[in-house]
Amino acid sequence: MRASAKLLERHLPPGRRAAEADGVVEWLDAHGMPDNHDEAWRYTPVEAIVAALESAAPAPSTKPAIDRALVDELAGDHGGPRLVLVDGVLVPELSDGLDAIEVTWERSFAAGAGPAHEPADGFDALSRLAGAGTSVLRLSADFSPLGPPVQVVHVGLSGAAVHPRLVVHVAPGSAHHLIETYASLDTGSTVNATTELVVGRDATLTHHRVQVEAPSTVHVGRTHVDQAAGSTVRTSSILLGAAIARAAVHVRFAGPGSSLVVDGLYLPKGEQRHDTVVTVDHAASHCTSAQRFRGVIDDVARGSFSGHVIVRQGTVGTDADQSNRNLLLAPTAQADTRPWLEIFADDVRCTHGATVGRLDDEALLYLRSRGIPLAEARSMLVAAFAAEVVEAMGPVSLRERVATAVAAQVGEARS
Amino acid sequence: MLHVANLKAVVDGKRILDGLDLDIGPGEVHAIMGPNGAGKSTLSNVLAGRDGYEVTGTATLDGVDLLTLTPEQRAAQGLFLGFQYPIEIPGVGNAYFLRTAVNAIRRERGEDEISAVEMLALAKEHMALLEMDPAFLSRSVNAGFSGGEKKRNEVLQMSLLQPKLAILDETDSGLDIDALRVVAEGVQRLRHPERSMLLITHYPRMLEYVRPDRVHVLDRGRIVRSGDHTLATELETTGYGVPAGAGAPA
Repeated sequence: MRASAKLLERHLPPGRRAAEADGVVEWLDAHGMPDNHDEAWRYTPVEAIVAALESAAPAPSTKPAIDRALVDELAGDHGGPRLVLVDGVLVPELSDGLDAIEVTWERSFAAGAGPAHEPADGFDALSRLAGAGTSVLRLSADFSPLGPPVQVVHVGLSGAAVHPRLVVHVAPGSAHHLIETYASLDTGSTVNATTELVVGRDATLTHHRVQVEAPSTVHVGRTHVDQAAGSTVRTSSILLGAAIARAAVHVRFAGPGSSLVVDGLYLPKGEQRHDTVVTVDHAASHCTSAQRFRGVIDDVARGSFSGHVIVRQGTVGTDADQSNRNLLLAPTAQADTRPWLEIFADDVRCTHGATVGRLDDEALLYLRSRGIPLAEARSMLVAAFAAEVVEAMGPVSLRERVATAVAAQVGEARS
Repeated sequence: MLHVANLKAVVDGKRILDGLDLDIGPGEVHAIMGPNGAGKSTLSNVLAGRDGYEVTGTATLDGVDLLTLTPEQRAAQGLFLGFQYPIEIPGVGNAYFLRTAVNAIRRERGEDEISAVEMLALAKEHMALLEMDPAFLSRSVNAGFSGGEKKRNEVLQMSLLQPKLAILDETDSGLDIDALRVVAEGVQRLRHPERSMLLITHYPRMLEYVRPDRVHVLDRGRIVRSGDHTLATELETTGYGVPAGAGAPA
């Protein structure tokens, strides 16, 4: 039996197949699960993710035993409305400020869907079929753009396989800030998460996606961004936790004159695997995109980055920039970096740069010669390396949480 | 204060220091001159604890064996090296760097740490003396600084860290006349009966501002001649009297 069929049998809720599958079962039958031969999955330990899903239990239907204090501890609180989902299900009792925003919880995967698009891959297809439901958030022009960010916190509690879906509509002309946090207890959750951001004409969205799950977690996530004309998006992906974490970000310029900054960090250590795959689809003219990712990799961990830029035929005035820098803290650490540019237009400015390096011995000696102990000197240099991404994050409470995690990356001293 | 005896250093199979002896008493300023490749920078590197040298012999500061200590432990003992080429560290703010360094040393000495506000005031006071724009505090360490600004930043660090022994490795090189005056005056201000200095230099001009108690000529890894401050002037007219770099690698 194919892996995809096995997964469907295990995770598809009874009755869902006929009622709501809407061709997705057929899509999954035809395409199956991805493997390392697929360009976008080249560096992902995809077999291990499939194995985790094959052995994981479906999410329980019992009421979760968790309180606010634990949510605060796992995910922090950055002010503003906060949606809390436990094992993939919205829990209103744990959430705050739901009346200040327009949010619904729908059982259907198709709820609130943005511009129709095929499943990105087998995991996306599986999440549409097996997910408990979709959170649909409509950020209107009325909601104060100057207020604190809207937060969506996912907590993996029971060690089950969960398939949370979040669809966010940003109203034309409005400006919003969204922070998504993925956290878990160390119970072996498998998280197959989808976020869809539909950004209206001339709207502005700042989005931070922070993955801080426990070491036994397996995380495969995707963020799909659809940008209407004249929109401005900044989206960050921070990978800190889990045994295996993959974050895919796919941005499509649907209308002209939009701009995008997509940046992030991945900080694998121990035996962790962190894989970031970015695709920016310049399907409209006069759009600007900048990808900026930094990896800090220790021990025998492996961090990977693939940056895909597509410039469609017939478009003009594209400006696409990509930078990926990696810092290896141990000789056994591994980095993969892969720019992937597909340009089908002439009027294009496209740059990319990638580096893999070690901490600068000269800089370390300089700091140490001023009395700064080795561990602290290493920590200062790692923080400096990540600063470009960290310093751009807000609010302060989030920036400090991420900065603390970066500092913790260099726990012990090595000479 | 500093006692160096029979100091030898080998790098990549080449002997750079070949039995060097040097004693600097409290409050004394010594200068080391010599041709390129004589081993001047190696001496400062070995004393500061840079990796990559096979070192034998003795080097103690107030009786403490320097050679077994890490670079940060040597700094905590009161050693300061002014780098010939100060390192640029983008992303590490100069103010943060200065405070971290000062507090690391204070911690080692069992003193209270200094707050960010106190540090700022102290740094600005010293920067005024060095004719440094306080804006340098908010920039990254040495990043994009001119040669003269980097050297002033070295002297600033020295004045904040208050070392027992300062080794200044060609702190005068690459400076125009005005910058040389400011840097040399900064060094001169730090002379103190309990602080010793070792100035490594090619040029006697620095020594006109900071008159050394002793001048040594280093050649092929050992001190071949010593004298009072007039030796520096003499060397300017006569040269080192040895073929530049003869037998010693650069």
